[in-house]
Amino acid sequence: MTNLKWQLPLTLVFFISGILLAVTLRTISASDQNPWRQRNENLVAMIETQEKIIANLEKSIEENRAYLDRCQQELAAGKKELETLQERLRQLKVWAGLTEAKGPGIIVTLDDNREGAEAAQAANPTQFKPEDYLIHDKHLLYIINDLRVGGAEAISVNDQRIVTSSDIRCVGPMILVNTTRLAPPYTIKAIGNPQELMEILEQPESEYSILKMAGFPVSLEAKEEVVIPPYKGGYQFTYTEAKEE
Amino acid sequence: MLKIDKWQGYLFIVLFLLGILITVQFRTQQNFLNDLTLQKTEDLVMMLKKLHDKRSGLEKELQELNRQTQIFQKDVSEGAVLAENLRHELKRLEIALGLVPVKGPGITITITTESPLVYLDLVDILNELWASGAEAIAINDQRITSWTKIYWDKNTFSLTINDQELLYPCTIKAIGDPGQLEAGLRLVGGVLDDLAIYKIYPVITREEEIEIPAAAPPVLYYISGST
Repeated sequence: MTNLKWQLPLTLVFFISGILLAVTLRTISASDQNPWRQRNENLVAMIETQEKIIANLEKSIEENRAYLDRCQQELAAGKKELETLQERLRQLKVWAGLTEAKGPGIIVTLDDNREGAEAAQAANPTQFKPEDYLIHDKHLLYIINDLRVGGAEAISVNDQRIVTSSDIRCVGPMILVNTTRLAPPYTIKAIGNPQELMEILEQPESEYSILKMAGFPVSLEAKEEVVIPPYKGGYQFTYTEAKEE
Repeated sequence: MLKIDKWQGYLFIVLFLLGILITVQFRTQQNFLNDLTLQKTEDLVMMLKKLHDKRSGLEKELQELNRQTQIFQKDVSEGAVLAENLRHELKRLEIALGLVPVKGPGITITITTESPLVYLDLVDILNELWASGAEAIAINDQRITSWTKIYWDKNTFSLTINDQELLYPCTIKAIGDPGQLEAGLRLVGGVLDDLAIYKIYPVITREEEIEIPAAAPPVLYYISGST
């Protein structure tokens, strides 16, 4: 009886094993006997080719999308940089006098002293020096310097904007500002604190006061708004280059 | 100690073999299901057709992406060109405004201690240099700009540039054509002749390269520039 104790489970095990083995063998033989196998193999080859192509396409698409993302970011960064640069350019153009300037300030007018000249000529023709009764380049130059000392932020003479490199000189009776011929009367406009600008020109030893005392027809007026046109000249550098730090 | 029965040993071996068998059978079945050649032909044809459709869809997508990429690349490179132009323009204005240090050929004008120089002499010299084509000027390494204040300070009794007393020897540096700059100063009846009346004899030296420092950017309160 002790034998039967393990014989029963063993029989069961062998029985199941037998069934399993049979099924396995049937499966294997069935696959070999499939009549469409040859045709299916061609189809499968085609399917596999397609799958490979699709995998490659998907890889390309993924790479392209990543690249596009980078481009978009670069473009956005570029746009931001452009905005920064344009903002800076607007600022520099204002400083460089390339834009029309508006603001409080003063208007100075200067004219040749024709009455004084006629009177002097009539009184003493031999001693008469006509140039003593004309506005000269130096008068304009020194008044402009006074205005700069008074904190003028923009200056023009007869609508010629005065910039850093503006020069004022005379050729015969003609005054050239920015190499443009000007004729009297001269109107100097300056933007800045009107009070300070007036004070500096009205100092007793200033060029303006000297002209006034000499009898030239000059005037000085504070304005709430002065409009100064932009500099029309160029900023070209032939000899100068920025020193890299 | 637990005694292992003989039959327990046999049963172990048998169950072990059974386990292997089941595994093998499962694998075989799995392979059978995965093996495309064993599927119905219609299914395979259908699958191939679907793959074709998918492929052409992906190809269209890729074309679209390529088109977008080209547009972006164009935009990016155009933006880069625009930025480069802007930077060039900015540099030019920064040089003009004296906001960057510069170098180039030019002249130095040295005026020694004994000279009874007045501030208007400096104004005259600067004006003559600008007229002679100077591109950048500094007096004692103070860059000259539209906002430079040159005056006689009545409180300190000193010639003052931007609130700093002018110290001697005074050196004026100007970048430009050295010959033209010197010729401008030496014009008959010009600046040097005027200075000579007051026994001021500046020493002019032509230089192959001089360096001029930058000025501080201006601080404007009253101007409102419109573009």
